[in-house]
Amino acid sequence: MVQRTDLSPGRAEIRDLSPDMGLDVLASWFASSPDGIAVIDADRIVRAANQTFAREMHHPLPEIVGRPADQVIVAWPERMADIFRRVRETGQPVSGGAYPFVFRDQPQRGTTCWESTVSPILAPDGSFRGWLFVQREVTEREQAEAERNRLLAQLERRAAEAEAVFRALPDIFFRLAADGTILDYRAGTATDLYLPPEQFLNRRMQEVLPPPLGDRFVRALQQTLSERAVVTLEYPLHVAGRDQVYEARFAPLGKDEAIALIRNITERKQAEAERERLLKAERHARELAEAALRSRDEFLAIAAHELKTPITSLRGYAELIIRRMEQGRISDPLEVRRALETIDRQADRLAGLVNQLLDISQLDQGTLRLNRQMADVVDIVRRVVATVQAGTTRHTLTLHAPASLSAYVDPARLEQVLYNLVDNAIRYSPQGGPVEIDVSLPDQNTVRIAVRDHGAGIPPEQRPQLFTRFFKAGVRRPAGGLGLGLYLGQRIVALHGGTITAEFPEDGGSRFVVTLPRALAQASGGESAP
Amino acid sequence: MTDKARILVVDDDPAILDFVALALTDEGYEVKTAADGHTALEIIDRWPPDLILLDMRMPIMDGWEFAKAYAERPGRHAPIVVLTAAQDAAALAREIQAVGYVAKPFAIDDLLAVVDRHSQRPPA
Repeated sequence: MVQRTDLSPGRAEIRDLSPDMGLDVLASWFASSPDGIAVIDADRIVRAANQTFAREMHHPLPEIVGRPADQVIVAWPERMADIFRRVRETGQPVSGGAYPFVFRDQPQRGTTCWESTVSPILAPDGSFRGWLFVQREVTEREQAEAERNRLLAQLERRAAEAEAVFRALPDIFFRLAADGTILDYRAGTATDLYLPPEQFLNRRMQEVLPPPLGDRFVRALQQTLSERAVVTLEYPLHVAGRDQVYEARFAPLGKDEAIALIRNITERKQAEAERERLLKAERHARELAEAALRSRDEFLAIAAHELKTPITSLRGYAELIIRRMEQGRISDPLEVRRALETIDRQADRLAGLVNQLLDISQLDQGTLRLNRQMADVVDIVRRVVATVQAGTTRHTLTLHAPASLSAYVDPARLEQVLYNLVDNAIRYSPQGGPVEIDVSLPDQNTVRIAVRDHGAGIPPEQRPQLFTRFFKAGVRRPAGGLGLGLYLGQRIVALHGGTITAEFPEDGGSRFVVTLPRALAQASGGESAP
Repeated sequence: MTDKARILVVDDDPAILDFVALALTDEGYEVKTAADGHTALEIIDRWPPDLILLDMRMPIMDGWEFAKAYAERPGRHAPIVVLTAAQDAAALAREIQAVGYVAKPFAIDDLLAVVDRHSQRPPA
């Protein structure tokens, strides 16, 4: 039997061994083999077995030898019987792999796995003498294999998930080598590729992208690789015929590769910009509202102050006359007359202020209406000049004008505007001096009225506010009045379709120029009564 | 009252100057008026007053500038009473260290009471 074992070259190498020693080698191998081995004779009696077999079968070795094989090898009796039969019939070994088995007396071992080979033992004449049964526990190998398969399946599922994600994402995906070479890409649902995909592959980003952007990509790539962190880059790029904004996120992949996910964030950016714009507009509106409130408070304070001044002298004179009458001090009726004249003037002044306030209110509400008619502008100017000249001896007013000049205006409103301009010329020339008023016709459709004084002028830093509400030249509002004259004048002239401008000649003083259309003009915001 | 107190009234509104001057003269005060701070300082040089009634908003030299220039002068200083149409008359008075204020429009009796209180000449 031993001699029949195939020790031919290639299977094993045994030389210069005596038959006895050969037998010893065989016995030693038999005893120490990690495989469980049993020799079963043709009558199915176990004739020999090693320790491993006995341990695996859970029987003491002496009890095994001499017993029928089917009492020792109890697992899968039908299959084992079949295998034994096939080996005997064919004279060929049969191997079976990885059969599961649960030890009834060792349930803690769980399912074990076994591999067995049953070989025929043949006599030199070829007659059948028995079976050689070799078995090996492969539980660990099987478990490792199962674990490997599980991991493989999991890996495949992950890859499939990633693939699905890439397909669904609007992002463009690049796998990049450390030098910027594009190793792989996926475009997802993105349709706005900067270049056709075939032009990406195996080229470096620096070559594919416009230079400044390519450099930024390389820096981001280097950063993500050196810091092992996600690096985000935002950049504009002209793609598909319009300026777009992209966001690239770099993440390290292994030691010297990285992935870049590129997303079109143009719409998000636009939404952000829009939100920013709205916020700004809202802030602006709030500031305007607050300024309007402040302005209203300031307006009320100024209006109250200005109204109190004529009221003070009105009341003062009335009281004074009453006191003097009570004390019997009045000897001269002229004295009473002078007081009453002062009261009258102050009442006029008060009425003028109240009218200005009403005008402002009507302008603000858009209800100020002009009463336009064909009127002689020169006549109106002449009247204004005469009135103002009557109130001053220190100033000399000179009028240069044609005999008459008709225009379609509101005479009362125009007189109000011109009176304010000429009165300002006096008021801001406290040292006295000449004031020139010119009426001219720059063209057949336009009247120009200029008022020139040689007084204090307007400090340059205050000129931009000249036509705003409450403006008064100089510090601490030296001149009386509400500071509404130029503001009202400008608005009234604008309603006529005309303009007021201010000039500041080199030799001092100011020149205010009113320009009016003579006929009904296509006025700027002008409204007019029919 | 042989020695009349001297009152200087400073206000840019001529109508107010007129009736205040008349009302004070009727009460026996000696009164001078000025339409701005500059003129007031000139008057003070040759005619030191016992009390100054001062409007705050005036052209050329306003109440603040006048109070400052007056305080910087050597010698005896007459008390100042502020005459103003502003809402914050008390604050303005404190600002220039005036002894009092009269808010416009005022009753003559109120004005006279304040003037009487602050125009006592120091014993010679």
